[in-house]
Amino acid sequence: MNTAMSTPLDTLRLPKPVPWGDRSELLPKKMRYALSLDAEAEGGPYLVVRPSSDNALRHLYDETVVTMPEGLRCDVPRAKIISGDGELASPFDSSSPNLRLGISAELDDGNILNIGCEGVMTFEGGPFAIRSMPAHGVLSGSAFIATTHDTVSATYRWLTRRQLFGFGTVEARESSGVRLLTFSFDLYTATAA
Amino acid sequence: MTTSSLELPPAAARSAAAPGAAAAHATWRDHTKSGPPRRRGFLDWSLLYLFSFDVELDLERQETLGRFPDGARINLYSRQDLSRVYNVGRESTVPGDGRPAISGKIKWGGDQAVLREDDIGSCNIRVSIQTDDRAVIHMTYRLFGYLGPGGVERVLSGKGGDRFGTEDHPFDVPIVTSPRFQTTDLKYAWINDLQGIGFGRLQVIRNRFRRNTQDIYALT
Repeated sequence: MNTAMSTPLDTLRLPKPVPWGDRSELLPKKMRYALSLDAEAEGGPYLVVRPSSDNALRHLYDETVVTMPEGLRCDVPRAKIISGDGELASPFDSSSPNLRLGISAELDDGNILNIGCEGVMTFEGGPFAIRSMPAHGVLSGSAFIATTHDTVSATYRWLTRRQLFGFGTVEARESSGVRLLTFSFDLYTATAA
Repeated sequence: MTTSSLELPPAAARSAAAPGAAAAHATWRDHTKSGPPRRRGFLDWSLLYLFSFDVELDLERQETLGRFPDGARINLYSRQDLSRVYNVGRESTVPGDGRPAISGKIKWGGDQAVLREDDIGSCNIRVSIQTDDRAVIHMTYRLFGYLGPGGVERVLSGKGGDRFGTEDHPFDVPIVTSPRFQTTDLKYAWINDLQGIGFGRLQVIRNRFRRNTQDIYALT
């Protein structure tokens, strides 16, 4: 029985909502840094994410708690990547900027965290630059993603309740016939409250 | 790289890198460990305002599918006559970018919502925007919205026993979305390459989802 249901919710006591329709000003918004994600993947267009020996998911300055924009204090997960896959572009459009990563990581409390990343990626030189990349060459670019998360960990359950938004870099290098992509993201949490 | 460069960036750099400020660029890297170098500073980021939209949901077409293992499912659709896209500043170009601003109407919008038992509404939304110059932009996004304690049960029960939003005092659910765009119109093709973020409100009136308004930005 959900006890919250027994208490009538009176919206008269809540702040007045924003005026409706054809607004002339922007809604409030806040974003705050939550954690960073580093990942290496080989291949392309289909990617295989490499396991990490170090924490791939971490706070950049090793903080253990971050405060969400709405004031909630949450534990910062540290996790090592176990496996993952992904995709560049799209099977139907090789010039598409689409980026998808699915990462499975082991949290510091022993539970597994699945991270789904979807977004866009652009290389300097355009969408076909990675195809014409010379051997031993290096190509840089930027990537922007939105992530969703699944875990049974009670400590990190807050991750399952929100999307994070990643601003990142990608570096592609080819050696010994293997193309390696190195991703590095800062993940931010956002609220419209 | 010297040993000192492996340490944390100075406090000034860290404070400058706070969200909302121009972030200090990271050059601190640790090459002493195997694997990729580790950053020791924030990456630059900003948001570019694209457009805003208002959606009025069609109460006649709301479809409640019932309870499933992952939650209760509801299909929602927008009303074409009361849903529109506009620029809050009534600008004709995207600020700081010079590309044409997006304004028009929402020809079609649908949402397959899953209302989870932890009072989170998880939505999978598709919207077709027809701009004033008749280009069509397809927008899709996921969103997670917290409906408050017992919120899912209140919405599902559909009863007005308590005041979960009224016409005068709607219950506002703050939402954050991650839209992507698709169009074949060359004038707006630049939007295909963007990952968006939407900040908005979902309004609940008498236990029913009624309206959605959002400001859409691009991650840059």
